[in-house]
Formats: sequence, structure tokens, C-alpha cells
Amino acid sequence: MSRHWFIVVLTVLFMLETAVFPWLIPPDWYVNIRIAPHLVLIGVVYIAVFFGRHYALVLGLAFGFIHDLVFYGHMIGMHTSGLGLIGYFAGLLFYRVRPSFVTVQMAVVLALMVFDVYIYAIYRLFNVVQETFTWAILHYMLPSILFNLFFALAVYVPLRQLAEKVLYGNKKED
Amino acid sequence: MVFKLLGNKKLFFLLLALVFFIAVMGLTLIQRDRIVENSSWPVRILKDTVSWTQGLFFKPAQSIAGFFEDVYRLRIVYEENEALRRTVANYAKDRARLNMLEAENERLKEMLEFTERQKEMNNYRYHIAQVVAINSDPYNETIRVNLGSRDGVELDWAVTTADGLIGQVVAVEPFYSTVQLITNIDDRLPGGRAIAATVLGQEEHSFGIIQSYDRSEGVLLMTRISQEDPLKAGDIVVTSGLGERFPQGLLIGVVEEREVGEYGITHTAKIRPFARFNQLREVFLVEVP
Repeated sequence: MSRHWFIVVLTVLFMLETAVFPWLIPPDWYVNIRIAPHLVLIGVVYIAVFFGRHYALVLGLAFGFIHDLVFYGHMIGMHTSGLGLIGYFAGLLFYRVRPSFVTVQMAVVLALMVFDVYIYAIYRLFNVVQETFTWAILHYMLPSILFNLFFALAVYVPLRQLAEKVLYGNKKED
Repeated sequence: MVFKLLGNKKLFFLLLALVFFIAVMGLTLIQRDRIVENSSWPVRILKDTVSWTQGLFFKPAQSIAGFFEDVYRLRIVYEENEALRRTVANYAKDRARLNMLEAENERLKEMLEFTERQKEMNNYRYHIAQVVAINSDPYNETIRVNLGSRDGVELDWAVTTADGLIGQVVAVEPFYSTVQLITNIDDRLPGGRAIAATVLGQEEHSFGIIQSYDRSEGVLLMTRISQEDPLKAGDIVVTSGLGERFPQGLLIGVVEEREVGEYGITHTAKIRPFARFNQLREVFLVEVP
């Protein structure tokens, strides 16, 4: 199996993030909190941990760029740079030959935190958001990180199996 | 130490990448006087293809979500039906009156020799469009809808739901277009767009500018209301059509409270929008002839 199957996985994650998840989150939650699914980011972090930083960097840049183009509202480049750089650093810090469950989840939590703060910081830099950082933490970041973490745990087993098949599939057949 | 760091090639490239991305963001930050032009063909094809695929995912998700919502709402459906019947009765009454007034208006316009263009001015066409995707970015609320330039959609059309104004078309491709929600209008932004607004029923006496959206309270802020303005809590706010960014008479929301503004010269008001901005299914793009 080729590792390029993960391009298909990321495509599906992108579609889920933009076209399915907005419907699964109950609308009543939106009164006080806002949940932002970052499924592509989770995919990119898994790729970084399993396959190394360079592949994650390339895919992160590509999918970030598609996201930026399709939903061009304020500016282009935020998701491109965010997904690319976080993919690269996740690979740099957490890439192992056979990563343990804890390592992978630590990478995911760290990436989610960094990405949410990064989004806020960039929009604050360009004056798009005026809300205070504390408010953003309580109403956007914490609920989003929790929600995304649950999703990351849910897809861990299938993605890990796919990655092992890609990495060691041929050896097992011998 | 510093020279050793600079000698590190990877670090150097990382810094370059950061500078590059910040520059790209700054350059693409939408400007108020942006030149309106169509995107290039590769971008158009990419965006349309992605949105077509999103549509494949969105339809089943929508119907499943709709099913659960229907089950949940079954209990209150009787009360709603009752209320709707009353509204329909009122509507029929108003309709008769409206027909009469419309005929009279027509006759008066004939007498005053209005031109064709002036007569058509308030005769909007509503194009229904289905939402195919919602942006997951919490501070950049844009949605994709399945009408494009093939269907005659143009930039800057206003977008409403059955409840009220929700946004404006900011990008158009052949089959799909992007709508920016009014939760993102902010006059303090370089590309911000303000909405000229007035009160339903006293369009002659009220005027204000809806300038930004307060995320923490979920209200729109209407500023530059003069002190003599009769606007008060409970009034219904509509677009005024001045400035010609948004057509006249689209429902926005209800005034929640009015207070003295920043410098004490003008007043500001908080407006609770009628439309809900989450789980949008069908929206109307408003064409002004």
C-alpha cells in the first residue's frame, strides 16, 4: 500500500469538517460557546507522527491552501501556514518508528492548542477579532480542543491500522 | 551564539517562511476599495470542484440532522400550527390591503411620470440557494451556496433567510459562490462593510449604521443614531438602502437597548438579529433589478 492513501483520508476529513460536522453539533450549544472542528489538522498530526515531518509539511500546506481559497473571507495564508508549520513541528518533535499511544495523543493536544492560539493571534494581529484572549479561551478554544480530542481518539485506531499497513504491510506478507 | 543560530539553515528557512506567510496574509487582506474582479480559471475550477464534493457530503448530513430535529420538534408542532394559522389569517387581511395600496401606488407613479428604472427599484427577486459547506474557522464565518455566475449571481448581493438578513456575496464562481455572514462585518476592519439601517415604519425619522457584531453578547451594534431619533427598544430594524450596499427594507433584527455612544454626541443601540447563523440550510440571494 502506498502512503498516498492518506491524501484520500485528508480529503474525507476536510469534507467532514466543512460539510458534515456543522450539522452534528447541536445548535443550542452555540448560545455561549462555539466549536470549531479541526479534523484536517488532526489528520496532518497523525501523518507527521507516523510518516515524518516532510510529508506532513507538504500535505498540510496543500490542504491548508485549499481551505483558504474555498472560504476566502478575510485573508489567504492562515490555514496554509498553520497546518504546514504545525505538521512540520509535530513531526520534528514526536516522530518515532513505532510511536506509543500517549506520544500520539500528546502531539494532537499540543497541536490543537497551538493552532487555536495561532488562529486567534493572527486574526488579532490583523484586527479581525476584538474579543479578549480570556474570552476566546473560555468560549472558543477549550470547547474546541475537547471536542477535537474526542474525535482524534475516535479515529486513532483505524488511522493507526492504516498507517501500519502502509509501513509494514509488505513485510507481513513475506 | 547568534551567528551559530543564523548559520542554521533550517531556522533561516523557517524565518523566511514566516515572513512570507505574514506578507501573503497582509497582501490578501480584503481592502475596502478592493478591485472587483473574477478569480482566475484554475481557482474557479478548484473551488467549484471542492464545493461539488462538499455537496455530496452535505445532503445526507442535512437530511439526518433534519430527521432528528423533526422528531425533537414534534411536540411543539401543534402550537406552531396554531400560531401559523393565526398569522395566515392576518396575512390574508394585509394582502388585500397591500393590493389596494399597490394599485394606488402604481397609479400615482404613473401620474408622476416615474421612469421604468425607478419603478423597478424595489421589485427584488429572491433566488433560493442551498448551503453546501460552512467554514470551520471560528472568526471567519463564510458559507458556500450552490448558485453561481451561471445563475446570474453577482458580487455584493445581499443574502437573507426567511427570518432576516444574514450576509453578502463576496466571491462568485460559475456554479457556487461564497457568502460572508454579517457576524463578520466590522467597520474597524480594512475590508469591513457597514449596513445603513432604519426603523420599520419610521424610515423618514430614524437612521443609524450597523457597524460590528459583538460575539460575546450575540448582538449587532448600531451606531451614529442622532439624539432626536425616535428609535427605542422593541423597534424592528431594517436596511435603509442608503449607500446602496444593501437593498432597502430587508429585516435585520429587533432593538434590545439604546444608550449614549462613545463621545456622548450620538447614541448606539444593540440589535438582536432575527436570523440564526448556525445550521443554515436554505438562504435567499436578493437580486435588485
